[in-house]
Amino acid sequence: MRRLILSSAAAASAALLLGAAPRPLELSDVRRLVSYSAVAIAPDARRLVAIERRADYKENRALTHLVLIDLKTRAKRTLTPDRKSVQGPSWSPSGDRIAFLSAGGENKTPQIWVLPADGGEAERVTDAERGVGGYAWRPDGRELAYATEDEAPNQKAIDAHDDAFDVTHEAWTARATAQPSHIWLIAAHGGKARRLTSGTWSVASGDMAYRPDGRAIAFTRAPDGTANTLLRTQLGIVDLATRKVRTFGTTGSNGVTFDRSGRTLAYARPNAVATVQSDIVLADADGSHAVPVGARLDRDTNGGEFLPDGAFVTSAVDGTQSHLFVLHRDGTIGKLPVGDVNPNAVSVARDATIAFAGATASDSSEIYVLRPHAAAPERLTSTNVWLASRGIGTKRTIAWRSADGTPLDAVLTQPPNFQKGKKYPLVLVIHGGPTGATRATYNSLAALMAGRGWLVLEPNYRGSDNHGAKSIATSLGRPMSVAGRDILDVLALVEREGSVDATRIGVSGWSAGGMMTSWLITHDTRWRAALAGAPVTSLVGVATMSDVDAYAPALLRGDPWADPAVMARTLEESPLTYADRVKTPTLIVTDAGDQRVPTPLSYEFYHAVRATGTPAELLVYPVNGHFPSDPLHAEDVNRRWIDWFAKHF
Amino acid sequence: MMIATMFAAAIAAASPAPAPAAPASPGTAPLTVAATTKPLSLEALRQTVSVREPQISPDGKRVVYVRGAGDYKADVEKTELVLVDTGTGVRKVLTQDRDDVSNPTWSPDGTRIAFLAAPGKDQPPEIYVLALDGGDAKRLTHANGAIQGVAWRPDGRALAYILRDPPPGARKPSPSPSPYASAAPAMSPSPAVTAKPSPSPSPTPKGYVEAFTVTDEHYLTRAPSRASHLWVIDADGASPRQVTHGPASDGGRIDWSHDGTTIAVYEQPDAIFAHFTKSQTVVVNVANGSVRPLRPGTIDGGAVMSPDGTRLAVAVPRHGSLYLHSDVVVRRLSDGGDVASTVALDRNANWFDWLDDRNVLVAAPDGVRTYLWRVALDGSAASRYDLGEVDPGFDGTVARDGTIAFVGRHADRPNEIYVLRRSAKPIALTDENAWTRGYAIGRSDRIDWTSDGMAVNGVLTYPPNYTAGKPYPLVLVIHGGPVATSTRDFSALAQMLATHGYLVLQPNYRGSDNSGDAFLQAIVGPVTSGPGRDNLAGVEAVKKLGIVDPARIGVSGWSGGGLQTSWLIGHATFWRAALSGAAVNDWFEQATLADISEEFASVLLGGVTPWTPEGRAKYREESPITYAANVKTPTLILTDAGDQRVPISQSFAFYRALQAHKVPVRMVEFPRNGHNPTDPVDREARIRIWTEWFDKWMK
Repeated sequence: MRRLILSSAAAASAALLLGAAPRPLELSDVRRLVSYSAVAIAPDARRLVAIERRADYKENRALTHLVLIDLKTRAKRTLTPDRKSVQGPSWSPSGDRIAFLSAGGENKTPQIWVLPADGGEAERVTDAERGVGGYAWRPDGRELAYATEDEAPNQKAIDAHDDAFDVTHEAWTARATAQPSHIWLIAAHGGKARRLTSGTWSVASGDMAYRPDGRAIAFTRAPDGTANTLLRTQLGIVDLATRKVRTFGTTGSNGVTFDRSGRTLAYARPNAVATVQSDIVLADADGSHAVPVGARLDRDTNGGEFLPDGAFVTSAVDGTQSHLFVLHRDGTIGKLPVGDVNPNAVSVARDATIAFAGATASDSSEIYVLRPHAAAPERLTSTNVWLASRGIGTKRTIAWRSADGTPLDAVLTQPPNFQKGKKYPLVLVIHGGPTGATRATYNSLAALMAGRGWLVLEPNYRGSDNHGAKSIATSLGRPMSVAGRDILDVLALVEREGSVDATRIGVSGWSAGGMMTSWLITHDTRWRAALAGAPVTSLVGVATMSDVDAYAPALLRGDPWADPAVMARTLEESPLTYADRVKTPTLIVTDAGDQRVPTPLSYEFYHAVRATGTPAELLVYPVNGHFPSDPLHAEDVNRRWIDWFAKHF
Repeated sequence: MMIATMFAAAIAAASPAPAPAAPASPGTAPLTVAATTKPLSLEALRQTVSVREPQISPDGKRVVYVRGAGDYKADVEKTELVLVDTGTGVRKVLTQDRDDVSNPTWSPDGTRIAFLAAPGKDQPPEIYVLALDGGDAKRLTHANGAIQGVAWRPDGRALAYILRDPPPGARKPSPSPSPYASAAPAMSPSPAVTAKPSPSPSPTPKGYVEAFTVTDEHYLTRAPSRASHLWVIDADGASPRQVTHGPASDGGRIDWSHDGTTIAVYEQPDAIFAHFTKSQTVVVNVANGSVRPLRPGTIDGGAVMSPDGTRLAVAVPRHGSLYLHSDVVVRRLSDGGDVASTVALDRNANWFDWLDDRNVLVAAPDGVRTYLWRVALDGSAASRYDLGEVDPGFDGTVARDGTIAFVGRHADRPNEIYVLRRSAKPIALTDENAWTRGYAIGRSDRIDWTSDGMAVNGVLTYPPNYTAGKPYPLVLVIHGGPVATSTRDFSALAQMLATHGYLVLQPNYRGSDNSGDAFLQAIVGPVTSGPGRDNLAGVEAVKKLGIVDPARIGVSGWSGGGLQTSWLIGHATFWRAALSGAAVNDWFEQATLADISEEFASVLLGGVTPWTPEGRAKYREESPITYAANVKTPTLILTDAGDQRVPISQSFAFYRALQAHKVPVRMVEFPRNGHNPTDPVDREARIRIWTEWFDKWMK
């Protein structure tokens, strides 16, 4: 199930005002932040494991460790002290072992390791030449299924340097034809792996689940091996005895799981009105009798797991908070009490205890459990609670309606010691996606800006995924002009509150937020300065050479290359078309090798803005990816983002 | 001096190979093929040897050259220096097991040869000096940076070279010594680097490159542009010292004055590649590093010093842009004043040098061949050398006695090294490509036609076993540049296509530099549409010969030739198949993304920028992508994945457009940086893919 597409990792923040004025958050504070993910609770609900991520600024890399937390004592212990990279932990069905992926040891690619839960070192199970992309325990715990990429059919020629490659849905950064991934089986204690599936189609993202009877594996089936799977997948189920594969689910379906009885399965599929929204479907184990209960929830869902009673728990953003929703096959929907916590992906124990990592307005990341029938989640870690003792500003959700009456919202962060009646500079920080949403959770950039004494406005707009498919659908076909209007409207609303210095308003965003920024500076001149990070300055470029090339046609309701009318509309909706109107000093920022928002789009816009005589700079991070992933460059983005506005305010 | 063609396709012959030396007679194109010859094959072509950089000794008695041959297992070109006696033809290999050998340069007394070679795998070249009376070469520099060009001081006791500045990280104060600082020779202080607004709070790890701003850099840039500067080092390797400083960047040929106090070198205002178009020849005072332009306020394409050290022959663009036609102008070193020029010759000076103090040599294409002219400074008419069937390549040197060593081209086999003594016939010093004699080579003829009232020509290559009266399929192979020329010289691609049974037409459309400045200049404005008409008229001209099967005509090209291919399939539907390599499909993207930046597109489009509505319309009008919906021809799109010259976004767009219109289309990339694959295996693969594509659709 899908994450934000054209967005950076950055989210939003707030701080409680304590008695004494706390010192403002600084970049050096941000270095201390630790984040949790991939929480996996033991079947007996006595312990859980999670991935703990820290940044190593000396080596300039992220360090990920597997940690074990006792739910009773809350004692936390690192299970993999000397490994630098660990991902994807999961408990064996009986809870006696923990499997995880790690590139440690002699093999540089990620392999499956199995760690006894009661002591002893982890043992490497697989030796897959091209690494393991994902895996699943067989329900009896004696075997593992995993996905690994096939060898190229012309591998011998490639080894002999004859390496020209065909491009189909590869991104512009590709240096080889992507090969399909397929399922292999291996004993849980290792040994010889056996191939289960083959073909030119691919098991997407290593996404797979055993049917509880252990006789079939369901998975997300991509038409080819490229990473470009968005809106192109279906589901597959392979019978282990016959090895026959059956394909089901409408195009775009992905992320299949079974309930414990094996009678029901859940998966995500594109919403009928807005294909960019993911809805959960509950169906019979063979895929029949699908109940689109997620369409009734009508929020963009992010993964989930079955509860012991056969209901499905999933997280989704509603308004400016993420919640846990319980979906039943009879179509009813419940909501779990999470208090002020914004949960990410969940893990469920046999007794229905739910564990998750989550954030609040003043805490970037902790691990929580929610016991059955409890009134609130219980926080197990206190790793980042010190943030509350820094000045990170105060967050407020502003709810309003767009010009056409669509309910929308925004998060406003006020500086520490905010005083009514005083005028403050304001920076718009616009979220990416656009299928995503700003939540009222801590985010370092907003906190740092608030620390500088600025108001930070993070708007959601038509196209954000926190108010349902209809809200998104009103933006499809005209994603830029519709969202651009909304952002100006909410800004006007905030200005009416009287605290904004109208001469010092800046606009910024990354990815689709960079696209909105580029749009706003081509359609309004009030801005003191602008920062457009990885901006989609032309949706044609995304449709042409991105690793999510189907996203542009989904937003545009048509393929610009196939239909001249769509091409004309796409150009009308692309900031590049209006670059000659820019009057705002603009910093354009991009990674050198951005496969998602192709780097050329930043160069083209820069040249066009420069030609107007308006001050424009193009800043390049010499790294691959859609946002710098190494700690030093990531920190540098925040530093320069703030410096740019400080210079112009 | 060779003028770089910025935008040309390197689709010609694979690299040239040593074989027993035997002075050979100039080759002649066989009109009929003996029955004993074998058809050419990719495997046979692997024997090709590249000979280049022939450097004649000051006394004219010996020539040293670089010999390159493909190592297909390691996928690298193996290079070595070979010394050949111009009298006896006896050759000997001078270097052993060195990588990337280039730039051989005789010491003024002829006792030593300086050259560049990489001290190890993936390391930048350093300067070595080889004493010809015996012993291994001695490594002179430990610069650990890109060195280009070496020149002996006339007294033979020092050498000048050009070295790229170390990365900015190496200049920053850092608690741990930078990897560059320790390896770099002692140097004078470098200019300060602008401080960042908020300095990074801690030292950065090795190899870390900070974010940087770009202006006219290309879309794949991964590090700030760095200038190159002139250095001098003693001939024994002592005291390397930086001579020039500052933002300006030095390049090109290094020429010492007779007294060793000044150096003429080529300089651009900053380090950004695209700004080479603002370059000019400057005169450097070696003692204090001060620099004066040879002729203030002008640009030029580089210079060569006269033997007496008083004048410079300079390539001067006739229309103010180095992307267009250049003449040679002789200027006084003292004040930059003009002495003479080759304007009357009206040929684009691809190569030039001094024959003696009174005569300049110029080599340039003319029709479908290349020629060598002697131009006297007294203003008398240029005289063309009669070299028989040998055509001069743009690579050669002149000895003190006027003996010329040059790379010679032939219609029927790859290049060899020749010497030309005054008023004599050229003598082949090498026969490195003797292997071709066992193979059937297709004949290459000139063909002429008119287009828009202009005389146009091209090269028509016949299948080796061509039989009159039988219709043949035709493949166009269109050159890039566009300021370049298809000559009748041996081309591995054209010969392989001919061997597969195709007639091959290589048209010299307007913009080609083989018919004088007016013809070249005719491309300015209608940069795509004009040549498009010329090339269609070329097809008609071949058809009129009655030898073409009109149902089987294909079109192909690389770079500017890919641009033409994409254009032609959007404007005619008779093509049976097309191959569009590294194609400019969208002039706007070409202008905003390429390493040659906005200027190249603007010059060729007649001074128009895309920053006005009319300009934008013009860019669209001359871009193949605008007409992609008309394409019906099965098309193969080829490109390097890391092409900085013709940005690959254009290949992607053309691919998606053809795909959306259900045209049979395939896109193949070479996982390499650069505008062409340069490694032996991929170069060969390109020819294989090319012939296979036309075989698939036209056989």
